[in-house]
Amino acid sequence: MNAWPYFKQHFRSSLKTIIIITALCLMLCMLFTATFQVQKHVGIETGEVSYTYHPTLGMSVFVLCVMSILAPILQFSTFKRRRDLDMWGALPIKRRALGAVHFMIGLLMVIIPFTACFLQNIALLYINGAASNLYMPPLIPFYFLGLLSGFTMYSVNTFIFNRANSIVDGIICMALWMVLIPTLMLCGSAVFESMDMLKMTLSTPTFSPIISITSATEVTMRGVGRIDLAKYFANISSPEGIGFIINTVLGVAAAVGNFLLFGKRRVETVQEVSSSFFCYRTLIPVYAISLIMGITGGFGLLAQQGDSSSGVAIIEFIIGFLFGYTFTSFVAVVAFVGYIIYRRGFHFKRSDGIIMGIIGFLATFAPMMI
Amino acid sequence: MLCIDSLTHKLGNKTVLKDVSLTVHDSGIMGIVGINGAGKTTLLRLLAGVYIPDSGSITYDGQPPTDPKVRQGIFFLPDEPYYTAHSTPDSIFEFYKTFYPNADKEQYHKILKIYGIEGNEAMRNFSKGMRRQTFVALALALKPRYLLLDEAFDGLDPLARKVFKEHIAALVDQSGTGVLISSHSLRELEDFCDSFVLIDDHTVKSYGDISEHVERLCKFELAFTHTVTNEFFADIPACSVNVRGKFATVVMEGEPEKCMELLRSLSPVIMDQVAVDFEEAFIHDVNKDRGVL
Repeated sequence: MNAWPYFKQHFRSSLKTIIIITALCLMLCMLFTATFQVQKHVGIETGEVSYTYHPTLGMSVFVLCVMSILAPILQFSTFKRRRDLDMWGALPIKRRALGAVHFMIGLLMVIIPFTACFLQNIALLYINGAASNLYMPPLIPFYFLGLLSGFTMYSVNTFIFNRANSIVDGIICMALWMVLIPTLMLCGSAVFESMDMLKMTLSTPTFSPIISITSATEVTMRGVGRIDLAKYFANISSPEGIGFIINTVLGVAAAVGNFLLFGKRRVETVQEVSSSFFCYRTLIPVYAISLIMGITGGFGLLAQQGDSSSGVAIIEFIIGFLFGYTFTSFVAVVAFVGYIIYRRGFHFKRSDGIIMGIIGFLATFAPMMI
Repeated sequence: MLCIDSLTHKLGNKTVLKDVSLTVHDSGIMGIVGINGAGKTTLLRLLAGVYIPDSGSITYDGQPPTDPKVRQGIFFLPDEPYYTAHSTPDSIFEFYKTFYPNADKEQYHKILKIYGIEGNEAMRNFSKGMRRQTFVALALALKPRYLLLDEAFDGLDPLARKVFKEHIAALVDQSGTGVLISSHSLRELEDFCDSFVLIDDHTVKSYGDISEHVERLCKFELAFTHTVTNEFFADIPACSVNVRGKFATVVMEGEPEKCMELLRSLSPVIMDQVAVDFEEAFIHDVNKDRGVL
């Protein structure tokens, strides 16, 4: 069966949800515009006010971020319930086509509220008469960059959500993947700095949608004024430019992967343990090991800062050591709990035991490196 | 014609269906029977294309159910059909009409009216039976070539069952639909199905015509002048013996005359042959297979 009739049917049935979500987002943006004041951008080097801006446009990006998380849940949760799958699996439509229709409707759920909020926020700025006195980013590039980033976030989130076998696992894995790269960078930074090997900061190319242009906190709280959109076009080899290109490629790859894998998915695995490499199997060890190493590096730095010729250094060393142990032990315990959630009880496999052993070993011996 | 050949399927590490082979002809009603966990629902899901077989094949007129064109001629009504919090009978019909262009809205409403269901009511407020009736009406209105019904009578009241059976019979007669129906209500299946398939121990134990299957067995009601026990029938090759003081009911396999001759040796004062029903035949088959007899 051609997917087009189902697309029309599904769009009609989803329209009410899209309208309600869009209305809520518009109200939220209106409230934000009314509440927030005009912000002043102060140059870091000069210390002087270089321009004023209103962060209201950032709210449309916040909407984009929220919807890129909600849309996969709204569109694909039904494929994670056994009862529903008796119907979906038996319908005379190719599974890939079914997945593609839900993906497209989900994408519309991201695009429509974002576009509505974006237009409303521009209108609000102009109606207030404030726009003429404020810094305004180039609106059309801003809009299309937002769309592309929204697509990337939605596509990646959908891919991750669909790798899990239950709704709860899908949400947990989406959340964990969103903050994985910042966590790795933070931990990597602590480890490398403590070893005097490399100085890394979060301004280094960040190949994660969550801390690039579409970061909700970045854009909303600091406002769009800080984002130098020209960098994306004028200097594509800049950290932001490279990050953006990689993110977009990632988004397209996730969409293609989602399309291909949706048809191959075995219905029987639904509501079973989420054993995909994109879920707990990878996330638990990566988080646990990087956090243990990061904590060790962080407290190592603290110990190095002390003056070794005085008693202060010894106290700092002891504090660093004790706190290091406390936090690494905590990470190991959380990882263990993570495995219980993953396996839904104590039904561990040999590979789980090996990973937990490694985590336990690192949690025990890594603080000794401080 | 539906052909199942050497079908095997696992759920996790557990083999749910093992080397199942079966042929189902069009224009007939086949009952799928088996104890809980035998694999009836899994078989229906495989036939509907919900599951992909691990090995073996399923074909409808030579085509597998993985082909959407084939699935357009199949309707699977599961034990717990899908509906959302906002679904109404009308919205459910519109949804399915997208996939089944032959859906007959007039007939759908006609059957809903018989059941006393309004098309615009929210299904979340329906009882289990009403929801079932709605989906039964839908199954009939879609006029599929093959209708797969899981626990078909579950939740239906006697009137609804009667209407359902009448409509299914009409569908089979008029459209040549092949119906596969699983149910634990064997008495309902007996007077409704032409044939049956017994699934036990994850495979097909027997299948064929219900009346022929039942006629293999004969049942006798006996009365004695003295109280009897099960040991009293120890020399009789009975399938089952049920004693109640001076009375006993004996089910045996074989020619009625030969069975009666054997029972006469016990000197009953009264001996009547009564009809064996499908449920008794089913219990006999399952117990025999498990070595209980």
